[in-house]
Amino acid sequence: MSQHPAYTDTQTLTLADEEYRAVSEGRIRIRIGVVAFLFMLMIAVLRLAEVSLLSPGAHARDLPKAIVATRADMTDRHGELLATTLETYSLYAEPRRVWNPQETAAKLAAIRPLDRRVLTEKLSRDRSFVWLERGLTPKERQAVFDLGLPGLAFRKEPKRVYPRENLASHLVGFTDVDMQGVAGAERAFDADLQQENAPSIALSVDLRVQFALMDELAKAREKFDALDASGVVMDIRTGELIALASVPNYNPNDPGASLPETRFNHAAMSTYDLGSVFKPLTMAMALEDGVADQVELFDVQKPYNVLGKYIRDDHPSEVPLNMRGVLAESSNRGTAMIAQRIGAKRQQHHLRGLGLLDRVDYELAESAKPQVQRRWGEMATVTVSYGHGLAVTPLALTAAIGGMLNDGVYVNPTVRRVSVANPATGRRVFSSQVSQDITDMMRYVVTDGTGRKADIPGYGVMGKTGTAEKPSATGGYDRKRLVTSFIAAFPHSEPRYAMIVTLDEPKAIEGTYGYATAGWNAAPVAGQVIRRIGPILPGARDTSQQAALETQP
Amino acid sequence: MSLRLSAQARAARRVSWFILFLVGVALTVTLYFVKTHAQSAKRDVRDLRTAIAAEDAAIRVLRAERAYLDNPSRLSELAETHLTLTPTPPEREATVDEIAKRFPLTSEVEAQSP
Repeated sequence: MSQHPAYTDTQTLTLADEEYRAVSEGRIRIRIGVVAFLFMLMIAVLRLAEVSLLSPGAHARDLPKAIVATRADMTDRHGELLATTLETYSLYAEPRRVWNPQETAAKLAAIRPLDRRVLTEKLSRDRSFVWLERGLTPKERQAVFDLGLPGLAFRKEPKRVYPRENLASHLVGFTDVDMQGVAGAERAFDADLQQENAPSIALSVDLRVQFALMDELAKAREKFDALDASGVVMDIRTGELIALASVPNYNPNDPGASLPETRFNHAAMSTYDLGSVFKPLTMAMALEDGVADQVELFDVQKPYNVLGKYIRDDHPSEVPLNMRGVLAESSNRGTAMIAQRIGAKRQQHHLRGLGLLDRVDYELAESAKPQVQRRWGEMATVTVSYGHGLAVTPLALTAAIGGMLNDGVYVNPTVRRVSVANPATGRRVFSSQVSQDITDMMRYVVTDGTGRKADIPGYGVMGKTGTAEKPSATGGYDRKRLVTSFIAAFPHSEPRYAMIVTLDEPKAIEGTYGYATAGWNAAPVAGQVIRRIGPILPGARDTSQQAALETQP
Repeated sequence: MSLRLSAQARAARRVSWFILFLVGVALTVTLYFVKTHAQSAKRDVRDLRTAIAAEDAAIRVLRAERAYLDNPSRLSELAETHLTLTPTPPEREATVDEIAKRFPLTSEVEAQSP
């Protein structure tokens, strides 16, 4: 130790140095390994965190495919489907991917109503997309799919479908290709139907009643060779239109294929001088204003002159008649006498109250404005009292007569089922007593007057016939071209339903003895309708066993 | 000095950092699995919704078809050809009151007595 301390020291130091270097080198390697490992781990962890916490696309991938634009269903008052939206499949081709246009066209034309030559031409085009057929049902789509032809594909598209076809076409209406309502209830409730997840809309119509009315109108139109026929059945307490029909009609599934005149809703859009069906209203006005009573006799057997013109009665009575008789015999003279006492001002006031001087205020856009005389003098007062010189729609008159018989309360018509959300709105137009008196008089018209052919046992039918001549092209009226109507209401014990049947230019046929007047066509048609719908409608049966009038002398 | 820790304390601190790190990694991995599971559940929901939509569409088609088949005009034609039934005419209907009037209670009593 003492001899070569420096040497020994150096030796020791050298040894220590080498050891240290080896250890230090090892440590560095380990550290590099650890750092590399941690780096890799960090990358993995950061990626995990990124995937877990920050991946914006994740939600979008999990959402279901966008649902095609839809439109809520419409049903009748009992939930029977009237209009629905179905997903249809539209077939298109990618001509560039079609292997053999001739073969593809041949196979496709064999199962679809498509022209083979047109198909071949379309499939041979140098294009990437071409429509072949739109609106296929799932079954039809499957049939095409089963052909296994390359280059054909489908696109889902919504389509409005009307399974009842022509049945309630004027009421339900239809939509255009973009599923926007353009007529009827489809148009009226367009906004409601288009809302997302909108519930189905229940209309006021009863499908069975609608069918009975439409069926009878169609038969009548054919039988009497009329231009058109229309009818309305209304619940006068709620204003609900139980049926509204006009023939000819159309299939709303393909409105473009129908003639424009078939799409015309005559019940709500055609204004007619409806004739004597106005007389009960005149009687009610007189009773309401106290200018006439039911006892007084009117000299209808004598010619009656107003402002130099004679009032014509088709079947003049030989004896004076009281108000009930005037109505039952449908005397123009008697009605004219009563109207003159009411006067133009009060007459207009009442007509306005009954909604006859304006459009019918209901949901549909199909509502024609009445044709009102500009100068309403004494002559106009007289003619309007028996339904000439004021052209209104059959719907407007039904609502007015309904208001008169509904205890004197006019209720606005509605095509939607009345509920808490859609309550009936009404206004008083006549007193209860007047309403009751007119109810009895209109029952008498059916039991003993011109409306006998509409008397259906058990339903206490009330009514009034109306035959009007159409205005002729040369001025005045045309005796050959008639509009005949029958306004009916039932049951007599508690009036609940009002209805009208209107025939445009019916002809006299075998069995009507040359007559084409309402008593021979519109009245029996209305009776036939009541015969069919009476058993269906709640509250239609007459509960008083003997109608009050039957016991009277 | 306060900053200068003993070797033991330094080691303890290092270990706790490491444990914290491990906990962090474990949490991240767990979160990853939970997320993956949630995603597959969402996929299931999506598939179910698609299936429901398809069923819904099928139901609509069937409802429309049924409505088409039970059209009154079609049913009346079928009834005319296949059945001997017709709607009851009003003449053959009566209310309970009418029946009671037609067959009064006294006649029932008489009929029951021998």
